[in-house]
Amino acid sequence: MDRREFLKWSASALAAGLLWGNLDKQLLWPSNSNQEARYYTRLESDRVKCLLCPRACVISGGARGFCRTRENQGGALYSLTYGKVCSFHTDPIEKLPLFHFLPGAKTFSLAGAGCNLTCLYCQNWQISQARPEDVKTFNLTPLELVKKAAAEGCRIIAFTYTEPIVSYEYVLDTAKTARKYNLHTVIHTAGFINPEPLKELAPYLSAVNVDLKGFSDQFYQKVCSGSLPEVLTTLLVLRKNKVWVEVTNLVIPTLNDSPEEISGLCRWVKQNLGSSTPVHFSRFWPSYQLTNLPATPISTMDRIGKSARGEWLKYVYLGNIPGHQGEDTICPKCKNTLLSRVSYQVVANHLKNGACGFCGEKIPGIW
Amino acid sequence: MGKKILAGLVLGCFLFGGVTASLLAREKNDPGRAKIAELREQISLLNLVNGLYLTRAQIKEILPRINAALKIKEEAEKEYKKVQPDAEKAFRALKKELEQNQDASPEVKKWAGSLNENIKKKVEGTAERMAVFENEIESILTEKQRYLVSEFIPCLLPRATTTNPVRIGQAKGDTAEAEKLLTRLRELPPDRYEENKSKVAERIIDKYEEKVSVLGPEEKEIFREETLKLFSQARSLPEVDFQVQKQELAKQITPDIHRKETGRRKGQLGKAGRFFLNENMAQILKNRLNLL
Repeated sequence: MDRREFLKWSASALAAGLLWGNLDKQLLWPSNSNQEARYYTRLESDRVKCLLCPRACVISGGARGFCRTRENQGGALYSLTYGKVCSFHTDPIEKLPLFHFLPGAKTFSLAGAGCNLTCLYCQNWQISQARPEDVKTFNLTPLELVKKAAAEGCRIIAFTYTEPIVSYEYVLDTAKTARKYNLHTVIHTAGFINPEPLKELAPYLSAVNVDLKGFSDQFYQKVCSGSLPEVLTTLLVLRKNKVWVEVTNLVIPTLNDSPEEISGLCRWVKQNLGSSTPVHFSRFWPSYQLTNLPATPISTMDRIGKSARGEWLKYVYLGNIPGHQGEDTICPKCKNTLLSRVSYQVVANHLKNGACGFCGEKIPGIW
Repeated sequence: MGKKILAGLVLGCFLFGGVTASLLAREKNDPGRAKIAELREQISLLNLVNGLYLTRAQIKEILPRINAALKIKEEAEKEYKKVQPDAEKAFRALKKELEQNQDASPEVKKWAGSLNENIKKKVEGTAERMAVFENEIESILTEKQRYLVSEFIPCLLPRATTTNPVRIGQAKGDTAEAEKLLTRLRELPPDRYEENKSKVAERIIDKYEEKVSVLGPEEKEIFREETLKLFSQARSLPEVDFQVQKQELAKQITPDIHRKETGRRKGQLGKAGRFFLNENMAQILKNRLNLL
């Protein structure tokens, strides 16, 4: 090898190395390092303003936002949950719940610590209301995560259990990486996020279940420390970006179960997202700070299901009532049961190429 | 003694299937015990009915079938009572001869054998006739309800689980307990693990024998080896892999997973038949019909 050849070889090796480094950047990043946030602005005196969610926390040096997961380190905002997973399991997609998305498919479901809401009935409050350092976490880069999911035979990565939005950068990088490996990314979110970051994330999401926690701003403020209009905007942004959307509403006795509130929710969904949008009404079970309330009576759930189905929506589901007919997908045309479920298990599937196996009616969803 | 065994056999096949004959016989002779057993069965069936969400129309279709099946059962009991004195005599004679000799005379053996065969045929025939109604009831149920019946394990208090509420009876397949056990085993230092692993394996074997079936000495040894192998596997996995695989590992040491329903056997009713074709269910459904 002469001098010229040596230089040529060195240059191409360097270029290849840089390229590889770029492509597999996630693999090279030390997964325990914090990741700079994508949405924030610097303010005077080393303060920053987080632009990820409508809360718009102004954070002083060394302090954290409301979600406990974003910290101002020397005038820059960092995500503390990047690559830090505190819970993961393989679940059926029905657990999310997504009922019109690859029925029976196995998901690699995971969560990081933290949340930007404080719902009094949270079932996962031990991790959602915790700081990242307060819970046991496992380090997984996006690439490691995607490979792990694929190795477990999961076609879908699901960010769920806590609020994925607070781990925004991690979710985004994972979703991008998953797409390269032909894996879907889905999230279950409260939808309390600003439109800009959501628009950037949406193209990489295959489906989203949005927890529409109630249909009054008063409920959002009193029970969740949130607000309703921003969540409705999230639903509109997702719809506009053609992401498959399903809506979940946890029905809590006396707090959000009035016929007016329920009908308002159904009407809004029909007018803005379409009558084919699946809506899951879930039965409340006493937990966290709402143990003083009883579980939602089945009769209330039946009443809600009947009114929502009859007047406004085509695909209404009743959750947390194993064995109830409300878990099934019924053909809106011929009224036959297309997908029979017992909780998270599909026990019968009569769909044929995305259509009713009895009358041929096209059923919306990703099948 | 012969009477007790026979009564147990007949009742066992007719009513409960899985419950042992001797227990039934004991309960029959002890009214207090029988009452508790009856209440337990009624509550268990209520749990099933509550989880099935039967419609008014379904109940109306099911009830006549239960009544028809109960009539068959009643007739069978009458038939049984007719052969009972002869059977008792024959079995007593057989018992007496066996007490006195190594073997019984061919005449007594033939007498007892034919009566035994007669009773067996009657029991099987009755079950087969009742099974027609079992099939009809199954066809009235939806696919989901059939699934729920097949998964139902009789219980007094269904396990309340909101995280995995798949079952309406006992939470079969709930691996949470075994997952916790494996997690604790991983955390043990090597010396304490070595000290305790056999004891833990022994506990798992006990539970299996209690809930599934008694193991022979060789089976027990294989089970113990497999369990210890599983423990080592759980301890050696990297943290992330363990988190992903722990549910699958836990399934292997969760006894309820191994409780398989093998379907209807000849001369016996299946689950739907056992749960539906009895007086308690008839009464429950009659009451439910008034409430709907």
